[in-house]
Amino acid sequence: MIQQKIKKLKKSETILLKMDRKSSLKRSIVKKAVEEVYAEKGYLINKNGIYTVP
Amino acid sequence: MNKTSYGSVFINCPFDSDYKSILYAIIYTVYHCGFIPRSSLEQDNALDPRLSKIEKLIEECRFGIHDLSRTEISNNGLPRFNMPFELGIFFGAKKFGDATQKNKVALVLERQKYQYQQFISDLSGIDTKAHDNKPETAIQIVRNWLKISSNRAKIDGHIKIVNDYNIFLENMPDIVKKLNLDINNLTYTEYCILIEEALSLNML
Repeated sequence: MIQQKIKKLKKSETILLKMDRKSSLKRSIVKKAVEEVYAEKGYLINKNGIYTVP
Repeated sequence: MNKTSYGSVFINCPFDSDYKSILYAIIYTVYHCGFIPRSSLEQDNALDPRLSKIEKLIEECRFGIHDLSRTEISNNGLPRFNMPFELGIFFGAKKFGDATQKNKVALVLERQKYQYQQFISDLSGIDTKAHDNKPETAIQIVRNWLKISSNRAKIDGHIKIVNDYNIFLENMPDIVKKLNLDINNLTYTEYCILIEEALSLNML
């Protein structure tokens, strides 16, 4: 049985500031793309942050 | 009216492709530490004179990162003076501005420590930091400077920031592909939005 270690990345303590930037990029589309790619690459995303399988 | 934002960081760095790895690392670190990077590249209105935009940005930013590592002779045989010039405006605002402007804090970067004394000796006595053209070193320098200058408690250690940045870099090509963008020709604003959305994942 292959045991997989799941390493939890420490959640950042910093509060993220965002700026209302003028761009043709829609944030909802960027957010979806980011979530999809992180998930495809093995980073499991849940409400506790990002987990990676090394 | 006081327009200065204590969370804004003026980015006075080269934008050429050779420097991109350092610029990208600096912008990411500024965000990760809870600040907003501001650059003349964020506006694209040809009707606004470039210098006016820079003056306005400097006025609005308490913090400034000035990289003097690319002042060498360019292909046309002339040195590049934009970064030292904008550093001068930043110093001038602190020296001659109102009480808010006097709170300005600057980080002066260069490739090798004290190299600036060979081309801008008036700055003698300024404690510059050398990033040796290494993104990881630039991340550590910028993070430590923001931590000390702002006295904010909630800023992650540089190892955490480097790890998160490497994960972001690993994923960025595929994110950009999904958005039908060219990774080699991302605008400043596009890069900033990518970081904001990626960072929001591990700050949930």
